[in-house]
Amino acid sequence: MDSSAWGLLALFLIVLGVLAWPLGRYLAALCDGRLPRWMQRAEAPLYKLAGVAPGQSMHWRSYALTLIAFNAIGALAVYGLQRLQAVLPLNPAGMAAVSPDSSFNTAVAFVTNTNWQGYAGESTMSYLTQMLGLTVQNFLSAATGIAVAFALARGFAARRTDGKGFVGNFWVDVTRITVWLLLPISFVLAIFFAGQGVIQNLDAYKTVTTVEATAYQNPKLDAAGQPLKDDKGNAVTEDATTATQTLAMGPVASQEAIKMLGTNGGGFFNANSAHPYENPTALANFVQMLAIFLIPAALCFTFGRVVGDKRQGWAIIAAMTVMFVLAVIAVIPAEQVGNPLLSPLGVDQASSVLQAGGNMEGKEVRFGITASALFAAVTTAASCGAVIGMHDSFTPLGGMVPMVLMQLGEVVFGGVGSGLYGMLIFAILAVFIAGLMIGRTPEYLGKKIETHEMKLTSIAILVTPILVLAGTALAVIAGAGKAGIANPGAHGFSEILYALTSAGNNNGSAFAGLSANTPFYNALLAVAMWFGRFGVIVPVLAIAGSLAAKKRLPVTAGTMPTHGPLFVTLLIGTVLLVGLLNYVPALALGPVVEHLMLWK
Amino acid sequence: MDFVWIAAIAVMWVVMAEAVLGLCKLEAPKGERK
Repeated sequence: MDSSAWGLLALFLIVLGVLAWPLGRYLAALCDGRLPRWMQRAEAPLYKLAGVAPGQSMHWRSYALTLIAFNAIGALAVYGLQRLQAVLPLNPAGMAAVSPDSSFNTAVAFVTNTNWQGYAGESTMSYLTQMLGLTVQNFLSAATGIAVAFALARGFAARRTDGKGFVGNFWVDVTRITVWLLLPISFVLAIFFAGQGVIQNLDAYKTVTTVEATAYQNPKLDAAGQPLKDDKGNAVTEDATTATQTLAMGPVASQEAIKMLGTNGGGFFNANSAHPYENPTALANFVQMLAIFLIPAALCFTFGRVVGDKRQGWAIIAAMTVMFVLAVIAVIPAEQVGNPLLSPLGVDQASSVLQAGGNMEGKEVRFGITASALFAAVTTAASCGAVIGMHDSFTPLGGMVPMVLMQLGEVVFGGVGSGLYGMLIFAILAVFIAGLMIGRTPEYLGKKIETHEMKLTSIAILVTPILVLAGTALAVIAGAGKAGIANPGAHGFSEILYALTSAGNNNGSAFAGLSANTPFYNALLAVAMWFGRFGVIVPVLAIAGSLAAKKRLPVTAGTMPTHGPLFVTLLIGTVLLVGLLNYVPALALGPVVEHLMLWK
Repeated sequence: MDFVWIAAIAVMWVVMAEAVLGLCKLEAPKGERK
């Protein structure tokens, strides 16, 4: 890494810390319900309207059932909007109804905070669907994740043992997080992005004449709309020229803000944040990266405050930061080194004042390799999934880094809420392993970790690897799965593994190259997204309930400290060990083989 | 065709609701499980 890359990384982390610390304090007040009276008065009519008793805490079972029902209804609403958009208003481009399988996939994707997109937004979705369906779910899915993190933090913080496992009120949590956290910050961010040049309108698309005619290769499609391939599996194209261009319009800035802040990642346009109307300047790009990490980082500080020991929050964020920096150190040099097959052709890949050098394929050319690679690490460390570069075009090792970051369970900052509760599950596993080593009953934050919690922890940790690996196996066996591969061989395997990894871990970024808008992939990925999300949330809430019902033990000389460098190292080791054990064989078949073939 | 995909959402909802109830049983001491 050169000095500019180090400088960008350092600046990013410093600004993040400065912003996340006070936000964490504010979030702790939200979690504990310590709101100013004017806020309580303002939200009271909402509860009255919905028939919610804000002071009534829920048992974890009620909390979980309410959460699942709320999200399932959200999925049905998004599905219905897509299917009916042709007859609904705010559709100046005259978008037809989205196909049933794609609607199903997209509905599940946005409800689960994954935001996997098998479609291109500007050629598929009406403004109403984008605003009322997708953007609303961007808020609600983010609020759901944070609510679960709040519930788990309350479980750890509960001091009395009432034997009932109450973890808070889901409706109150979602309302407060949406109204007092996500909406205000999104409003400010949307104004900022609009100031930078992100568009915000409800205009019809504009057709403009280009300065000169453009010749391009147009992929031929079959009757089903899928790309035709020749005998070797390569896409069949035909020559075409055009002298006009259609500029897609829309309410982008308002969606862009929550897309980043809520670690949703679903772009208004197909090119996502590589589109100049979504991400117009280097400053906007920097702020987008900050927005992705802001709440996940702040929640670590929140956790420390809620459990009454700020050092615990520091330990969690330290573990996250170390793993994130390691990933950045891996991905940027992997891209800066370039492609060895280009050097014999006389291509100059060296960095100089005239060029960025390295592997520029698939990069955001406005921002260069460093910013593109850093963005890739940020968006996959957090479960955002917005992209400014095509991860499919990264070098094999460079592309493996985003994949590994997701496969670790999206706990390196992770999604809003899901990153914290995912990391706390690993913390429980870490203290359990440490307890086995020293022969003591494991404790974390004064709560005894017993058989029941370990069963639930095992479920929470194993759900996503099972979905990812079984789904990948199914896709490479099934003809419908293999039909979507654009690049046969190890890279094609990586494309499928990445898609399932992204869906199962609720990231939503795509490796590109995989034609996934088919009934097979739409169904398979939706199942992975749904159970990857709620299959983790349910055991986490069960752990929260179990912990809330336990007495908090005082710290003694025999208590293992969980705030020092030793525990941070143990936590990092646990996350890496579980990730490696689960995924190394699959990675060996994809990016590792491809790397060895490239550098043979 | 819509019925199939709406039913799929409903099924996934039911599976997770059943998972909640299943974990509740796991929570109870062995002698109290039904």
